[in-house]
Amino acid sequence: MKGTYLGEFEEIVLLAVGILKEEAYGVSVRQELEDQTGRDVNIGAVHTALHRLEEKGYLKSKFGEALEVRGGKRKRIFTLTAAGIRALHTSQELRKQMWSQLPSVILQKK
Amino acid sequence: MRHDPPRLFTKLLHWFCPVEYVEEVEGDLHQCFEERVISKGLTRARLLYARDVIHAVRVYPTRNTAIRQVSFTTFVDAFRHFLTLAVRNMTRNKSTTAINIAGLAVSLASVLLIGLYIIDELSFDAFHPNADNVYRIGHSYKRYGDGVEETDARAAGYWAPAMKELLPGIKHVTRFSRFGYPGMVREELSNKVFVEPEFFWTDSTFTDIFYVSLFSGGNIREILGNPGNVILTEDMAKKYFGDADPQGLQLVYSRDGMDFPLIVAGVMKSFPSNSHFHPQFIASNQALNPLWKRDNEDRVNSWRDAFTYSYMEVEEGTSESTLAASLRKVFDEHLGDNAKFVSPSIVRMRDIHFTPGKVLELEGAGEKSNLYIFASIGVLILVMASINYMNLATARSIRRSKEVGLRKTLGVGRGTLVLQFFGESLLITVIALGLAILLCVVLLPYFNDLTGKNFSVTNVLGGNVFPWVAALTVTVGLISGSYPAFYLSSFNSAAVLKGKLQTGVSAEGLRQILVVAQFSITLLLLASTLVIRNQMQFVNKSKLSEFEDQIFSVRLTGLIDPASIQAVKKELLTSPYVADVALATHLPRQEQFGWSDVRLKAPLFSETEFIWQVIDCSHDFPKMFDLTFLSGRSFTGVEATDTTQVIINESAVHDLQLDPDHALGVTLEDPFSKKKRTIVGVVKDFNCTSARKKIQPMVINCNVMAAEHMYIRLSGPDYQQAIGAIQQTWRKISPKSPFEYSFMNEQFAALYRSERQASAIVSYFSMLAIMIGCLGLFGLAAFTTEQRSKEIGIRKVLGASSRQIVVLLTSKYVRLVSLSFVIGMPVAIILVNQWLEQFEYRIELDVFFYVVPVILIMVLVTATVSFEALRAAYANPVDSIKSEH
Repeated sequence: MKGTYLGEFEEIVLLAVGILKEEAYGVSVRQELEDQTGRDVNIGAVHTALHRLEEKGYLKSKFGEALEVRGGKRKRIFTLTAAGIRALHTSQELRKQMWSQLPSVILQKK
Repeated sequence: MRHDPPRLFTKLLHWFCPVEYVEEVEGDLHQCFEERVISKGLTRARLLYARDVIHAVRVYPTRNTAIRQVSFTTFVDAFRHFLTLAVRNMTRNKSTTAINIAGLAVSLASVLLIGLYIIDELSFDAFHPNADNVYRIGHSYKRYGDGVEETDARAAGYWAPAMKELLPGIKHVTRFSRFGYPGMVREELSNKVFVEPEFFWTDSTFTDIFYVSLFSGGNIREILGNPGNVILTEDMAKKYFGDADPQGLQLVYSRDGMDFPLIVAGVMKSFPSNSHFHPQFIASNQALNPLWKRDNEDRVNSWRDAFTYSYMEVEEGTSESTLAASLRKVFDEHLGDNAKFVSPSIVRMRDIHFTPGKVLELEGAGEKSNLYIFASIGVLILVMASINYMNLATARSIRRSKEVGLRKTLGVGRGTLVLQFFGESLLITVIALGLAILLCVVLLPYFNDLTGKNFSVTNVLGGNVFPWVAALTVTVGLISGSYPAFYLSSFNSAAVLKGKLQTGVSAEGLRQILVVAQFSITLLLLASTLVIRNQMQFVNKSKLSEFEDQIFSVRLTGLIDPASIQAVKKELLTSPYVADVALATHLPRQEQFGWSDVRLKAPLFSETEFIWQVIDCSHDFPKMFDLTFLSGRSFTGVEATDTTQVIINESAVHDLQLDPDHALGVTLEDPFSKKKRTIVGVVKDFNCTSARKKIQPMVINCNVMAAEHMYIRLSGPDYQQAIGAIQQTWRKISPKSPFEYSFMNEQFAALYRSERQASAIVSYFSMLAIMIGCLGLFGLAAFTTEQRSKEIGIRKVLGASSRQIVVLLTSKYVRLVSLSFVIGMPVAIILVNQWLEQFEYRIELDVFFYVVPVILIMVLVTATVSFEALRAAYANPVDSIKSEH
């Protein structure tokens, strides 16, 4: 099923949440992604990814503080779950495994 | 400084975003906004905020986690579901859908056009303010001599003003006349001269009752207050002055050798087609005082001299009968002895158009029965298209029965199913309506041509017709959808799914009834069309001369003197373009152009005074029009003797109670002038007026001075050149007189305008109806053939020939159509005979009229059905038998 599969964008969102530790919410995740990738990231896309990851069980969330700068609205702070960490591992393993099988000739081509 | 993000977009966010997410999303967006205000400025921040919100629309609501507003979305879903189903059903049966939509579109377009026509006819003269309270005064009298009662549309000049003075409750009166009809108008600078029949001389109170709209502005009452002014229509302004501003320019009206110079003081819009008169010029009747008040009489304010069209507006609620009674009283008090012979006759202005038979009516009356005919055709066409829909829908029910069964099993209520079927039929009718409007717009110019009306696209879309048609569309949608809706939804789902229900069979009876109804209607329309067309052809054939289309007439006016007329005639006779020339009174005979009858006595022979039609002509008239002599001879061409002789027609001989040979030598005497003429010839009756009228007794005088037209028969087909040459001759000899011509066949055709229109409309729309009927039959045949494809396959395998199969499939429809002949024919015969009764000379309804439509429909039906039958018969039986479907 789709639930076990991690898309590229989902993967880096998951990583960003991990990096940000207790400070991961929509705006900060987006900021992190923009800093790390150098791409413009749409806030809506971030929201979708975060919610989908939560649905899949890789993230959990709770409400954080409300700030003046947020128009008095609370943040939703996301944290990695054990399943989330496992998913990251799996994805890394997969890459490692595939990298190791890549013939060195191909890598030299570039 | 604090800034808020655009509130509208925040609201939008709240509207679609699921409640459990809205807080954090809004917060995040707000935070981004605040940061951007600092980094990118307020405007960009706002724009980006809006972009983010719109992006979020795409993102939310995320899948089934969102809590939906139940009622709204169920409705939307149900609607979307219904649409999907409807579209699928329509595309699955493309030919059926096409037949349904095409049939309905054509029929709705027909109804739209017919409705336009009928509403226009019924709204005659409604554009005048208070038109409902306006009456026209005319008078009726017993004709001198034979005592036949006649009603004249006109009143004596003083009647209307007197009524206003003497009777309470009359608010306005106004009068106009076409005195000197048709008058002559010339423009002196460019030397243009035309005969203008629509020149109206009015009171200055004209606009108290009638609505006139001036392009040029100004007060009509003031303009008409000055006898030197004239108001003309745009068309006339163009005709006389080209593109120049006509305001202040001069026209001269001439009559009886007197000239009346008039200054153009206004340009008016032409009267609409649904008006009972169409003035091209309006001028004050005061201007003609020198004519009316000559010889010490005052014709304008006379109690007796009836020549003005007089209108009065009465108080709201005055009944026609009380008005007539009060008029009668005034007549008795003021007309003296004359009141015994003359009675007032009033007619409501709105009714003038449909009141025929008035002497000197302004324009030909409309035919109310035509409206009924058109309306019935419209309804019948619509019925045919609805029948197609019902037939095809019930026939198709076999396919849909499974769908219905399954949906019922899944818990769909019967109400929903009924709604669905109604919805589908409404959808089809609405699509058809769209096409119908398109069709109307495309066909409008041709329809205008056909009817002589002037409809525009705005008439189709706006105005009075469209709401009716929209309502009609819904009704048709509901009616044609009703049978499938209730019938299909009534299926027992279990039976259907087990395959036990023989759907489509129980509706067979209804389908047969509908087919019979449809073809009865078709037969009725076809038979009527045939009769109407033949009658029109017959009427067109009963013409004065077989060369009518080569003869044209030029009006002789007071501006050309007798010597010039003779000179023109002489020179034309030598022209290679001209075959013959004669002079005569106006033909066809029309009372508007002047009195066409004469009183005569045959003194030595009988005491009776005869009232006969008269033609005053030159001696060569009988020769040119090829009149057939039953006895005697034509005029000789020697003026001295010709003027003492006459030729009469057969009917006149009957009136004299003689036979043609004994009529020769009888002397006729004018009881007033005592002038005597001897009968020298008797001609066969010939038609010189509408075939609606019986041929009257007629006397032909050789009297060139009273001739009104010069009739010229062209020798060759090159009309353009011939007319050019003739005009040159005319101009050379009489440069000041107008040269206006018209072809005789057109003149005669004008007499039957309303019949020709009716005939054309009936023919075209009947054709449509027949087409729609065949279309439906084709769909039905195609469907049933397909249903029976297995049976046909098995029959073929067992040795049936193609011919047997075609007969098998067609015979059912042939039987049905035969039945519709039995029903339709009697109705057709009754209606057609009724219609024919209005003509004095009519075609005989022989076997031809009963047989031809029958054969025609039979051929059409057989062709339509066997097209499908043949396809089935020639198909390879293996294809149909090998698979279950």
